Amino acid sequence: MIGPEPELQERILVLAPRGRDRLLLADALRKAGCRPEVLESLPGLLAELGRGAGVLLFEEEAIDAKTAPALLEALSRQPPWSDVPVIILTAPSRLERQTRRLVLSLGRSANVVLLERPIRILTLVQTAQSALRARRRQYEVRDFQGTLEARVAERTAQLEASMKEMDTFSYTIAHDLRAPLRHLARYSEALDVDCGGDLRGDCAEYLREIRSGAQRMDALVQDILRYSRLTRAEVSLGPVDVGAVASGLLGDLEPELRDRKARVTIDAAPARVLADPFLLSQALVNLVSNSIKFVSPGTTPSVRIRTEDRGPWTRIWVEDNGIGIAPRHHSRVFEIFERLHGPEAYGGTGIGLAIVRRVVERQRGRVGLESEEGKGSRFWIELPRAGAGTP
Amino acid sequence: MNGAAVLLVEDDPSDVFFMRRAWQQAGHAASLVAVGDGEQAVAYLSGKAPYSDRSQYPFPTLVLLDLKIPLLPGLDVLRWIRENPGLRDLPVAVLTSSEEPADVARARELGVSDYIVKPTGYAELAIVVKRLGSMF
Repeated sequence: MIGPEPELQERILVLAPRGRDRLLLADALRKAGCRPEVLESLPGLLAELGRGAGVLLFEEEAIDAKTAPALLEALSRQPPWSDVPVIILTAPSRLERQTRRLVLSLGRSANVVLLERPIRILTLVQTAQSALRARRRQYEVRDFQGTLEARVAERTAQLEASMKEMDTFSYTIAHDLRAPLRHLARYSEALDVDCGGDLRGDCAEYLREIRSGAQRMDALVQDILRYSRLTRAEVSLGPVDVGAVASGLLGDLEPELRDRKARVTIDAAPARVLADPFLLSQALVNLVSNSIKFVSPGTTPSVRIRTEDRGPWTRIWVEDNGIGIAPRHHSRVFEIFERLHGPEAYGGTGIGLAIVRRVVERQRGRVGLESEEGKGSRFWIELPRAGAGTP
Repeated sequence: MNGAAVLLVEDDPSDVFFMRRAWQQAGHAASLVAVGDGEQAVAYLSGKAPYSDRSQYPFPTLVLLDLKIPLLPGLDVLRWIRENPGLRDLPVAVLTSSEEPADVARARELGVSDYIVKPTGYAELAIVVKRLGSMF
């Protein structure tokens, strides 16, 4: 928010009880291009300060033990960006300790400069102008903060709106888009069961293609929903035992492991990482199920999960005896919908590894792999090691 | 028919069709009665017209509830059932294509007995329907 009257912010508010000085001071400042505004009393001056001011200029006589608290109060109420310069023209008749007491009584909330009287006009004008410059910067900070806050609020609102839209979008896909696919799959299945024998030539094969097409598309829709859910899921980071998560996911993968007669060994040193247990297990599930899928025909899939300390990081390796990935493809495998094989050779939607990367990055971790064609793959996830003292 | 019935709340005719097919195949003794929206479900359960004749529209031993249905959403039907003293113990299984955590969490909060995601293929549906037999 930019002040409605920027000229108010350039004012030098003057409090000088001695009539002659008052005129001289104001005149000298005006001649130097400043905007002095002479006030009659401290309350009047403080009211003006609330509307905006560049500098406060006092004669020492203008403030005493009775009025100082009001000034102190006004100065300490300033917002964080504000530190209004206060110039005090000391009274020649006062003792130094009296002046010191006055300065001390204003405490840390005052930005005070003392000028000895009698004072040269040049000294006064130069001091006032220097203080005004510093004050202008303070107003700039205020305005910048204001626009920054407005911009952040605007962006946040936009982000929230698009998150909400994503939710609606996923909801519609989940509820409506899958129904026609389900019907396609089921009717073609029913047709096959009820009339399969009556079909001529390749027709039974066409029917199976319709069915598997619908099922593939439904798998894709489900994977997109899964990806979008994990993208939006709340992340709550805490110390997580890698071995426990790894053992837990074997249960989730049990049917798949049994189908493929796969062997998974866990070799995790008691390692604790800073992670979200659910997201970490999602990452590992996807890596392991990837590993046991991409093997040459006739090979029994064998996967090893192990951890490695790397300074502040713990690296979790998922190593397999699969078909491997040529180094030229390494940069592509974590991209969404990237597939290195046709559906004939290896099924899949190309989302698994994209999910791995997404959930690991959401836990402030990194992913990577080492692999060569025909020599198995070694995928890794790196997460911050949980501090020794963390509960 | 031994008079027992299971109420299916489902607006998609194809889903109803396959449900009936699987129901028949499973050989459940209870009959499957289908209504197409949330208000009909409430009317059926309260025995209001046109469902007031209990010999024709027996009080169900299980409700299979789709979430996205016209007029009154599935979760509202579930809440109504759970807030209704006479129906509080009636088993309700949600049968939906949504796996969104928000749907699952709300259904659980409202006291659903089972949350079943509609299988894509018919063979899988047949297995699910066969298993339902233990719920009524």
